[in-house]
Amino acid sequence: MSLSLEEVRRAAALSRLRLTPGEELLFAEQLGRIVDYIDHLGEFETLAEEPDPASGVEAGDEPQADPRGELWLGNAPEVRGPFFAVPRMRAAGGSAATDPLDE
Amino acid sequence: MSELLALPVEELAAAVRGGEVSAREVVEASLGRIADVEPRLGAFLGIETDEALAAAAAIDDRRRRGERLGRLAGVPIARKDNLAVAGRRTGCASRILEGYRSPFTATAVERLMREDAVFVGRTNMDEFAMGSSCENSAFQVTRNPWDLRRVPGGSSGGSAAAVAAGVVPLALGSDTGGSIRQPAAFCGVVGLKPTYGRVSRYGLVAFGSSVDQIGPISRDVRSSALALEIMAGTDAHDPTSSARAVPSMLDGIDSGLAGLRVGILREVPVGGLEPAMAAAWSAALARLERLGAELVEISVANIPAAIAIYYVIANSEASANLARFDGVRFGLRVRGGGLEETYTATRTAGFGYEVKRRIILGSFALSAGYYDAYYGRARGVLQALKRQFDTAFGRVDLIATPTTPGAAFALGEKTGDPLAMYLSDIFTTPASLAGLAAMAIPCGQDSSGLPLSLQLMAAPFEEAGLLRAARAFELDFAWQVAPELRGETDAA
Repeated sequence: MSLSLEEVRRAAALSRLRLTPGEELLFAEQLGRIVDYIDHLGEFETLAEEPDPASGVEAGDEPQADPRGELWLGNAPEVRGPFFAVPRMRAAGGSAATDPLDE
Repeated sequence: MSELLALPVEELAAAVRGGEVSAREVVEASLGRIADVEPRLGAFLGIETDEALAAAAAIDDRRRRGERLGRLAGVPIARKDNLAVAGRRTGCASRILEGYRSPFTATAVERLMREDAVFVGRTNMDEFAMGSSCENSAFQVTRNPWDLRRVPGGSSGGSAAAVAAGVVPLALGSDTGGSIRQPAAFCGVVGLKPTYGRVSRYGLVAFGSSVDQIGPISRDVRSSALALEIMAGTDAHDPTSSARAVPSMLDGIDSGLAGLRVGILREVPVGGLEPAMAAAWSAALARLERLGAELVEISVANIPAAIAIYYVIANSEASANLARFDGVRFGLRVRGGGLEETYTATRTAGFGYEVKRRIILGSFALSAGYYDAYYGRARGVLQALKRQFDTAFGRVDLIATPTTPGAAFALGEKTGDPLAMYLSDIFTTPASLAGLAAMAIPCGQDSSGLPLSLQLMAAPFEEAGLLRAARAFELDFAWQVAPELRGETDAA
């Protein structure tokens, strides 16, 4: 079975990836074969998950000075002062479609 | 290969501590070997000559001043390109991390450095550790030192190839579904995946957070035991690291395996093994028995589901972990019309095919309408698998399987069929999913001389017993052969 092109496009959009039409076809076929294989999971014993004793343990959430602050910024493609700089949420003169908050 | 680099790690470090050889001589031998074989091998993405020579000089200075040197004095080590060292490049063999220099050092690396190990470079890997052949690197192909027309395995293929080719006596890899053990098997060296939580993963770029582990690759079992003993133990930077006390991995390692009960899985598809692997597997079982192990047939019924569980869970986790690569804080940025477009353009240009395929598969398995059928079901089958392993380890001390169904495959042989590539991990994924300790050790060669490997698995945190059995097997098998880097390559 192949995944439908619509399923591949939806998963790619969730992944923030753009595929060419050729890649969509290729991935639909390849991922379809993999999903077929994964469907065999239905043939095996399952158990309900037990609560992880480690979950629910919360680390302290106290702000701490990080002496490496400048090193973190040093890897950024663009910075302004002590901040990471990013393109505008909405392109100059852009439409609502470029703004995820409006989608 | 230099005689120095052929020494086990303990002996090499002792020679440096004793002044029989300087750290500089050892590191220069390693760098010289890299220069000699690297054009044919392609194991390294970056060679850190200046840093390595400076570290060696500092060690030699301390020895001259009469200071105590560490247990890894002057030992050259290679690290996989997904392990961070402060101020040095870490790239996961991906274009999306081009130019990235880590602000901090991985805890495992730092602990080895504290014992005066010298890191000489970062090794090639499948991009973001996603692959079984090293062919998914964005930059280069690494070749198997036993036959340059074949893959070294993956994803820690560069590390395994570097150790096998005598460039370094020890390298670090990471293992999410077999990425230490499978390349160790293909390259004829020892690879150890510690128990989940045994070694801090701080400074390891995350792929599948519930399964990732850092571990050593070496030519002999004792060298891996020493490296694990140094790296293991709790770390405040990694809340998944275990607070359990770390026993000595070397005390008693030479005391043999007589009396150990070794489980043989009814579910292992012996009929699917290549003929040479089937013969080596039978011989390995006979060897274990002759050494005094009791072989016990056991069942872990969900083993045949392991690949499917793995590719749902690891890729679901990857789809979340790799969301951070979006062109904002590090690496590549490809500007789009707005922020959302920039994220998409950056990721589309920066990730290779296999990474995209896995992120999309993970997003699919986690998406509304499919979550219960894929991710939820995989978690349920995994829970049953863990319970079945618990029951099995009530009856046996270790479980043995082949590490792989056969010897290293040819370059390009499986690149067009992702599912066939995934199935080469059929024996290694169960231990990853269940959080077990497991290792690969050489157990034979096929008619072309390619290495074949035995996998031993132990219950969580039972590495000491695992290493003892592996050491006994190694001493009896007496694997001494070194590859000759034969076979024609495009580069030759």
